Amino acid sequence: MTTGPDPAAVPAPRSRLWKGALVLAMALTVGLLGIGLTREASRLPSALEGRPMPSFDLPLLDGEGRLVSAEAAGRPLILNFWASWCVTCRQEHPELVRLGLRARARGEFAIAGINYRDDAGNALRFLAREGSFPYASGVDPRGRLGIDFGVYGMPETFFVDAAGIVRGRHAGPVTPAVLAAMLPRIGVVP
Amino acid sequence: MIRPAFLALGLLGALLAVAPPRPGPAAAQTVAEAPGEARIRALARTLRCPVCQSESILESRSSTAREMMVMVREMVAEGRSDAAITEFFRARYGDFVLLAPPPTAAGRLVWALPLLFLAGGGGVLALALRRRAPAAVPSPGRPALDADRLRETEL
Repeated sequence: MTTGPDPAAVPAPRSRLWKGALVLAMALTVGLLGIGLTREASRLPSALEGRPMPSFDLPLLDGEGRLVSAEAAGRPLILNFWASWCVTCRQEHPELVRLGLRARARGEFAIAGINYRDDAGNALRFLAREGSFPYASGVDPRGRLGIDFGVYGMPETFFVDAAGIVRGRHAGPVTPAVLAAMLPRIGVVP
Repeated sequence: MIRPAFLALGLLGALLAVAPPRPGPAAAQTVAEAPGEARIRALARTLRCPVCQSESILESRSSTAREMMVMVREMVAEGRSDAAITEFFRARYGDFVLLAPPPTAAGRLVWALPLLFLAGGGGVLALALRRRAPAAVPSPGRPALDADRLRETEL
C-alpha cells in the first residue's frame, strides 16, 4: 500500500517535464527550419550598399556613344541590369518603360540599362518585341560590370543617390511596390 | 555461325579498348602546369561562384565563374597578392563569395550549438540514470525504464 502511490507520484511531474522539454525542442527545431527554408538565399544584402557606385564606361547597345557613369553625377540614378534571355525581365519591362518616361519628362533622376551577358542581336530583337526603353543601355557582354556590382542573377536594379552612393539593390522584377520602397532612399518621391 | 559471334566480340573488345579517353583533370593539370597555376587553383578553390550552389569558381562551369577565373588570372599576372584578390571579390559580393567565411559571433554559436546540446543532453541523461537506478532494481517498473532509455538513445 505504501509503495503503490510513491512511484506513481514521483514520475508523473518528471515525465511531464520531459514531454514539455521534448515538445519545446521539437517546436524550436521546426521553427528554425521554417526560418531557414523561407529565407531566400538569393535575397542577400548587397555588399555595395552604402558604398560608392562602381564607375563604368560602356559602349551603347543601340547607336553611337557610350554610357558613362560620371554623366549621372549630381542626380540620383537607377541602373537596371537586363538581358534578352531573362524571362523576368519581360515582366518588369512595362514598369521600367514607365519609369524611363517619367525620368525623361521630369528629369529628377537618371535611369540607364546594362545589357548583361547578351548577344546584341537578341537584345535588339527583345526591345523590338517588348518596346524600346526610353533611355540608353550600355553593353556588358562578358559580365565584368556585373561582377563589379556583385550581380547574382537577372534582373537586378541598383538605386544610387545624387552623391553616387549605392542605396539599394533589388534582385527580381521592378514593381510599383519595389519603387515605393527604393525611390525614397535616393531622394525621389515615388 | 561461330565466326560472326567472334567477330562481334572482337569488335566489342576493340570498342571498349578505345573507349572515349576522358580528359581527366589530373592529365590537364600536368599538361598546363604553369608556374602560377597551382596558386591560382588554390585561390580559386576558396572563392564561391555567386550564381551556383556552394561551388567554387574553380569547379563551376557557369559563365560568371569562368569570367571570375579569367579575372583571377589577370590579377595574378598583374602581381596582386592573394589577399588583395580575395578582397576584390569580397568588396563586390561580400562574405558570401568566400567558401570559408571569417568567423563571426553568430557563426561560432551555430557551430558550438551541437556540442552544447550533446553535453547538455549527456548531463541530463547521466542525472536521470543516477536518480532512477536505485529505484529500478526492486520496482516492477523496469520495462518502462527500458522504454525511456530507448527513447533517450533515439533522441
